[in-house]
Amino acid sequence: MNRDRDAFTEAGAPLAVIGQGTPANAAWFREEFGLEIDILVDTDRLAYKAAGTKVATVGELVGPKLVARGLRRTRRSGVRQGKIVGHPAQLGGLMLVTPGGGVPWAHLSDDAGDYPPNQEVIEAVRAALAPG
Amino acid sequence: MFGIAAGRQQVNPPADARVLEDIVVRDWHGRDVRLGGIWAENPALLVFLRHYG
Repeated sequence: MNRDRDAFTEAGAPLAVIGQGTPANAAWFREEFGLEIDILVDTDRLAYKAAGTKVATVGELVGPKLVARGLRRTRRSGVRQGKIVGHPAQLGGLMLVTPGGGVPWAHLSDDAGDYPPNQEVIEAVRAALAPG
Repeated sequence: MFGIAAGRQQVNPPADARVLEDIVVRDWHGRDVRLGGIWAENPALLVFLRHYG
């Protein structure tokens, strides 16, 4: 998402990236991957819980289909998986929020490999924020 | 074990993000950030990471 950060901003919704762990984990992540986006940390997972994200079962974390999907994504993007910190089974997701607190679009992961492609998300953001 | 869910859970995004607005997280410098401040003026796409990478 770091590569497409300007496209998200142009679509109307700058990224606000939230991870687990500590500020030191986030600082490591930014440095290790050369990221230019801000990283926030939710050490106690209060935001994860309030956002309705889920904790995975074993089958939602590992399995032939998930591994194959992960390998395909790594090949396409060149981005390798990094550190898992915090709760090991906590899944993530995406949530578009508008001033006043509206949530016109969200995609919360159903398993460890469930992240839509960036272009699909950008189009969803554009559609959700389109006037009328 | 390790906090892994025993049974399948359902995701449940809120219809109203005001349930998140008073949650305070920290930036990578350790400074407090109130979530509601992020979308106070303009839309924002919250990205909840599964892992760092």
